Amino acid sequence: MPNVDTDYSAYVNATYLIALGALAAALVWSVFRLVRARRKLDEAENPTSDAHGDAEP
Amino acid sequence: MAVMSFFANPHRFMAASKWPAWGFTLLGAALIAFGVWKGLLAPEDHQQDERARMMFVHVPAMWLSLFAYAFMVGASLISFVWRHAIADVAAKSAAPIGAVFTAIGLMTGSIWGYTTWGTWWEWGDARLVSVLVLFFIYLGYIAVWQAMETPQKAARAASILCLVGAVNIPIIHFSVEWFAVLHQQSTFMTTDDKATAEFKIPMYISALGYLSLFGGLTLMNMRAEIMRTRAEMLFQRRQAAD
Repeated sequence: MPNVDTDYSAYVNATYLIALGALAAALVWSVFRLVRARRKLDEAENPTSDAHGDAEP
Repeated sequence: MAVMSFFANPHRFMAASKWPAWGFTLLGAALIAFGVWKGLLAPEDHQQDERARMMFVHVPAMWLSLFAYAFMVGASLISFVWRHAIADVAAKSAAPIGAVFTAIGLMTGSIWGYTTWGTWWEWGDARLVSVLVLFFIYLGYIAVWQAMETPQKAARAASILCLVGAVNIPIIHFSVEWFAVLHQQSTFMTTDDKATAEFKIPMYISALGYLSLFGGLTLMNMRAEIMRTRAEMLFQRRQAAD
């Protein structure tokens, strides 16, 4: 058994940081994907006008 | 059945899903933030001291990794039997989110394991290995969607993979009873549930937050997928007309 420090706060904080970081990354990725798809659809539906797809329909 | 038929139309789905997508996401983020706060303030456990606080992120992530996969199995079954277009999109959109929950569960579990068992990983532990297999099934499912020539073929192959992979779900759940493992038995939602409210409340708040976030992000990804497919169809139509 390795000598694990009995002050576990660093390990506890690491689990929270990992979880929150991964969830935040999933959220950012999903929003980014949605905005990109919105832009692509705007371009496809209005090929002559400039597409500004930041807002959802 | 009527709900299933109603949402088979992508236009209806898009109209009905916009606000729930953002609403569930925001609710999920708020509940997770509250759960983290309550979790970090929870008292030390008499056996696991402050290490018990890791459970408030690890356990809900594992619950949701199984829930997300069960959701995909349901959607894949509907897709496979009824060729329901939205069911394909639902399963495809849930997979990356389920993979993230599984990755969180594996990493946080590994840290907890190191502080409790003295090892980051144990290949002889059926619970750990079956969850790792679940993670690879998620990755394989995502890869199948990328690898096939047409979306129809991809949907079929991915549905089959998902349905076959479902055999791993009871293995994960019962592994702590069937095999001699390091991993402890279920603490929550059992007849032998001894957890106090101080532990249950942050746990259930976090789990609700994860569930709500899963719903919101899956709906967001479904909307993105439908918009992307429609855009590609319009581009193809225009190319054919030119």
